[in-house]
Amino acid sequence: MRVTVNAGSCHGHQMCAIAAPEIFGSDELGNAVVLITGDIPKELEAKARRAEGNCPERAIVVTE
Amino acid sequence: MTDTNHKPVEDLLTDYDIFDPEFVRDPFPSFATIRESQCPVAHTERWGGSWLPTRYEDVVAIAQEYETFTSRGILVLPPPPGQTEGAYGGVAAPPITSDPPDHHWHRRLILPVFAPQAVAKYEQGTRDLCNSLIDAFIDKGVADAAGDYAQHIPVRVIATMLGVPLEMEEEFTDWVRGVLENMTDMERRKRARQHIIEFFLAQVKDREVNPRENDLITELMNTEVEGKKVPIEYVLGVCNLMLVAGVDTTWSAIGSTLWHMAQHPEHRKQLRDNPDLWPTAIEELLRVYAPVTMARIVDHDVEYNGCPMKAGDRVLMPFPAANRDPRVFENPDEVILDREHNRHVAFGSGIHRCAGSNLARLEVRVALQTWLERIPEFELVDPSSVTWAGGQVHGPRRCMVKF
Repeated sequence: MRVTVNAGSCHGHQMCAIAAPEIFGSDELGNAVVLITGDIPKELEAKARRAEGNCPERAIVVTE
Repeated sequence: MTDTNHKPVEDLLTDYDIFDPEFVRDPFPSFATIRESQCPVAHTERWGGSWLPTRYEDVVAIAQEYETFTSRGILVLPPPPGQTEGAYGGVAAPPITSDPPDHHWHRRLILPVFAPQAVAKYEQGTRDLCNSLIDAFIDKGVADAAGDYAQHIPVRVIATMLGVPLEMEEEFTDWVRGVLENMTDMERRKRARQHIIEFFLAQVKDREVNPRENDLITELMNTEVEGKKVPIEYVLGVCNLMLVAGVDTTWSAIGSTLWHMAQHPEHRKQLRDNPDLWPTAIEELLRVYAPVTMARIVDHDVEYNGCPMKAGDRVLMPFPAANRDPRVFENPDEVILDREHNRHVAFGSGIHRCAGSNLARLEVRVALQTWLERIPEFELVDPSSVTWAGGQVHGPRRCMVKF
């Protein structure tokens, strides 16, 4: 599983970082950055999905 | 005009009244009636006229479509006559009142101040403040969770950030209430705005003569865009925004969450037994008790979902209504502290997402955590005596609890 953030849609709600702080962080402006650019470890997959489901801008893309 | 505003509401779909005392106290039954009707975008002629979308999808679509739904007016009522004229007419509240293209730099300059890593430094000070407020009433066994506690927290945090005297807390609060709570009193609104801008102008003038360090007003004054200092209207406007948008809103959210916790011992226990739940729980409380309704002004005639909106019309964006839409949230009126998927829009949606959201979240969490640590068991003295503000910002104003 991999995750990316669509930078054009992200408006810095930070709800991904709240749901999955191991995977998402914040840049200088408060917009989302993905901290794990490669494969998401198995034990964090549920959190990645949770982050996807908590983004009000639907900016997070999870690919299996 | 007065007659139109005060006659009894006959039909919510064509005649809602956001300042009706029952709507102010509990708008959710009215939102639900409109949302589930054939006409989920209601209209009223009251208070200058407005449209009221109630479904999540519609509120979010209007927030996203900034070219059609502009930020030329963001309050739920038109401005008092004459407000846009005179010496302070050019002072707004950027970036909340800005549209692209200026919106971009107006917002870009303040976002770093409110990023999660930047607001973290206010956590300990906020905790100390919460503890000192509790010290003042904990031995009495009774307190007003809104008036003795919630009300004092955001105003002092914001005053600290700006670098203005904390002793003026009461005046700041009075001005903010003049703009956001007593909105139908046009004279008071106008006076409150005047006080705010005159106060910040004096603060800027003082810093020109007596330079300071490490406060946001100074930082704003020294900010440059394309090699030139930003205009003073921008500095005054951001200060205006920080005070007006950063105080009443967060204190309403803190008050509502305490009102909730006073009635839900099972939720207090859930948080005690599982502290890891805090971040998720705060998002759920923000969903259910989202305080803020914003507005937009229609740029050009447009038909939205069958509604003939005219250029200049006001469209309200009730984020509290969006957050209770059963199409998006299962059991929307229920607080489920470990809710798995929660795309709430308590802080709005799109390019105007609340710039202070990370600070607000921190304040709500620290205020609630500190209260529950010090006062783990408490209840409402009398549920019917709780008073509420509503319209633009919804939250309790008097909420007596005993412990």
